[in-house]
Amino acid sequence: MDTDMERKLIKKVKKGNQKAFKKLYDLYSGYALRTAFAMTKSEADASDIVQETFIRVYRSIDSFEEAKPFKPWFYRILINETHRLLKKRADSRNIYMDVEASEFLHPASSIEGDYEDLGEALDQLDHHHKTVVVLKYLHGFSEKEIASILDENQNTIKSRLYKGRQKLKQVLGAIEHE
Amino acid sequence: MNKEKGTMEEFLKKQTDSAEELKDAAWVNIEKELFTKPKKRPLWMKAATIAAAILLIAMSFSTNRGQAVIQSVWDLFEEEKTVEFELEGQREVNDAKLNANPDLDYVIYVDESRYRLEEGGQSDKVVPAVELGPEYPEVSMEIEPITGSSSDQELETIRQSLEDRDYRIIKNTEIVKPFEGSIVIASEAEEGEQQWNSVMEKYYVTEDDNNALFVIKQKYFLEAEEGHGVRFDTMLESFEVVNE
Repeated sequence: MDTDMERKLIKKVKKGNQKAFKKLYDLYSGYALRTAFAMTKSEADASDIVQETFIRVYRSIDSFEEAKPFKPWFYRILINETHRLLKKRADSRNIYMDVEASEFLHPASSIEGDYEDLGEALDQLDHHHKTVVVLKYLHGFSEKEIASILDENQNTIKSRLYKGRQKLKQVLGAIEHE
Repeated sequence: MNKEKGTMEEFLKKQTDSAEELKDAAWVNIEKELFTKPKKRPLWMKAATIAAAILLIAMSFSTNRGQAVIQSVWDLFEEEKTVEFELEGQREVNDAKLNANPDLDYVIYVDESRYRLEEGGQSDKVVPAVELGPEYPEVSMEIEPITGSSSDQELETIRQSLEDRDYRIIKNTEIVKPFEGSIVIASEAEEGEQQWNSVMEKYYVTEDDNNALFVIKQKYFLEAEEGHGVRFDTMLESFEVVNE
């Protein structure tokens, strides 16, 4: 969808048009669910995050400035919701990891070999590094776009990506030598 | 580096494929939370709703199209919306109600604490809920769908009418807010000769992608510009053409 079409769609959402909101949902929910799932490794949590994100989007769409691109604004809400839920889950993390991580790392669809190691390595990253890696590789966002989404300096994002990659290499190296 | 990038992309996409299947179920919950939440209403409002429902049923016997349009319009829009007004630097928050005239194919949220919508055959008028005294000039916002004409023709007609009545055109330009279109503002008084009750007329001309053309005419007086004028414009932000 081109920017002009998106701008018109958002204008309609601002006016309370539910059909336009559903269209916006259809456009953005797929990758939003993927992002939330990649971050949390739980379908239930991913669904909760995306629901909460779209509810927030609808309720605060009036504060969105139409002159600016919608995508970074949307993903900022999504990532904030994700971090909020991860923080909430932190206390019960051990239980959560036991049940869900094994499903993520060894899923029924059987993603084997290097992918399995990659999943394990990604799981070793803290949420700051994991967020930039997911935004970069799942979406193909540029460093500038990620900086805008996370409201951070572009150099900070560069550094997080570098450290994230280094950490992945380290973990993958260690796995290979096991 | 590219191999690493490719592998990570593939991994993340494959790993998250199943998440896309959650779309429909998640939407059901969103819809439930946003659009079907029961609202607590005072008793008189419940009675009014029942009366309105009876009226709608009665209408359906006379006009099937009217019934169909009303139903779909009410399905598409929230019944009530919070509208923020900024009047002379003061913020004011009011609930505005959805008003839809099925014959004229548009919707607007009206702040019913101050205004009411008078439905007409060719056009509707938003007027103050409490009538102003006889010493005040008319205050109204008329919404009229136009067929068989174009934006340019309508603008020309408006300008001609203003000139014929010796109105002074203050502004005549294209706009993007409250919607894409054109605006003409005029005053009956010459510059420097305006009184508190000098009549002002403001016209909006807008045409949507499906060539549905509307002319919205606001009438008020100089002293009411920051009051009724601003309130009309704020309500107009919710104006939308409904193409059935």
